[in-house]
Amino acid sequence: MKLKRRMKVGSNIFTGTMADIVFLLLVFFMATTLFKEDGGLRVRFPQAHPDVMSELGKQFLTVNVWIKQVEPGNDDSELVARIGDYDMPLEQVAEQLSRLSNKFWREQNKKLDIVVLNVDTRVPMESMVDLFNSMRYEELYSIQFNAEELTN
Amino acid sequence: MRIRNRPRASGAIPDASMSDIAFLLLIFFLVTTTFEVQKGISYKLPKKADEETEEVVIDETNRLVMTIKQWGAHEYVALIDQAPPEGPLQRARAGEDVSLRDTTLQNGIRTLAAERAEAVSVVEDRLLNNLEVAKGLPSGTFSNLENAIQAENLVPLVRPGILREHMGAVTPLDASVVFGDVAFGDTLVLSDARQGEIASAVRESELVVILKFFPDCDYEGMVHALDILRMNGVSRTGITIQERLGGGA
Repeated sequence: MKLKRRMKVGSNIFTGTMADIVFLLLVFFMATTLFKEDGGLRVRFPQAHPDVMSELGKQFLTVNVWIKQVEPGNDDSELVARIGDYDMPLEQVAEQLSRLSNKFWREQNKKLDIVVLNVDTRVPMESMVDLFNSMRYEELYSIQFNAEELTN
Repeated sequence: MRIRNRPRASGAIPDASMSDIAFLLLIFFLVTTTFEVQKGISYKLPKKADEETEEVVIDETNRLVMTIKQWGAHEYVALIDQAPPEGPLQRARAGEDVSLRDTTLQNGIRTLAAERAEAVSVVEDRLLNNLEVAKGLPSGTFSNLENAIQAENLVPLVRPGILREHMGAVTPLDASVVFGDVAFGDTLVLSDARQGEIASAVRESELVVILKFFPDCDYEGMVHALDILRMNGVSRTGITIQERLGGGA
């Protein structure tokens, strides 16, 4: 009697060409990728001289504020600010900071030390001075003007 | 007869060491990565005006008032409104705008600032106060700096500032018992062997520069102006807006 060999089912997946496929895909994506620009507020930092710049110590409690014009470059454009994930008109920034400061004090018994301003370089000074005045009114006095190091 | 098994070629890539490689790379990047530290210019706003606040009048001899105007993209000019009498920058008052990059303007500001450098004793008092705040001690715990250094076992040192580079031999020096010669712009530091730097104070200038910006001047101009002032030894500044000319709203 002729015995018929039973077909064996292999449990291995053939991976010999996997590396080729992976490299092919890698090359394809490397060649075609365009990096997505940051969708948030586009802020250009003003430059400052490295010798006079101070590093923000880790021991301070800070809040970052981002400010830009709705239409950058247009002096009549409205200003929008962002604290955390929330956008708001510039007029509300000082009040929001004051609320945050009170919240830190209530929940963590810590004071808000420094407000870090990341402002688009084209924002007019008139609005910035208004912001400084409203911050003084809310008794927030310490500011750090975020800046990049000057490259010569 | 013994039949020998023929070795079968396998199509699998050995991936047993892949996790080793991945961990090796992970550790490499963990060790070598440095996070970008936020840098910038610190600024303290004046206390808000109320009944308790005393109005501070800055003496005319310590006051420099400049109007900052924008002159195209990234270019800012200053107009000297008021300079301390009998000093540099008098001629600049003729109503001419000078670029903020102008070396005569910067040298003039630096000379004015250097002439009004604080006495070392004033800086030491501030350092003592900073030390008491840092240690959480009530004000007046230590009678003087020498006592504080002895009691807390601190190491005093002087960190040279950039003004020494800019001014060279003409940098104003003042002698201190604890720190030796202290130049204008230097930082006095007290450190602890265990905790490192505890308190510091900079030898500043008593010159106050008031910057009046044109309302439509860019924010970049303010950072630029503050940067130039600090590089030339001015740490006391006021920021305000030039009133719009010709009335209106």
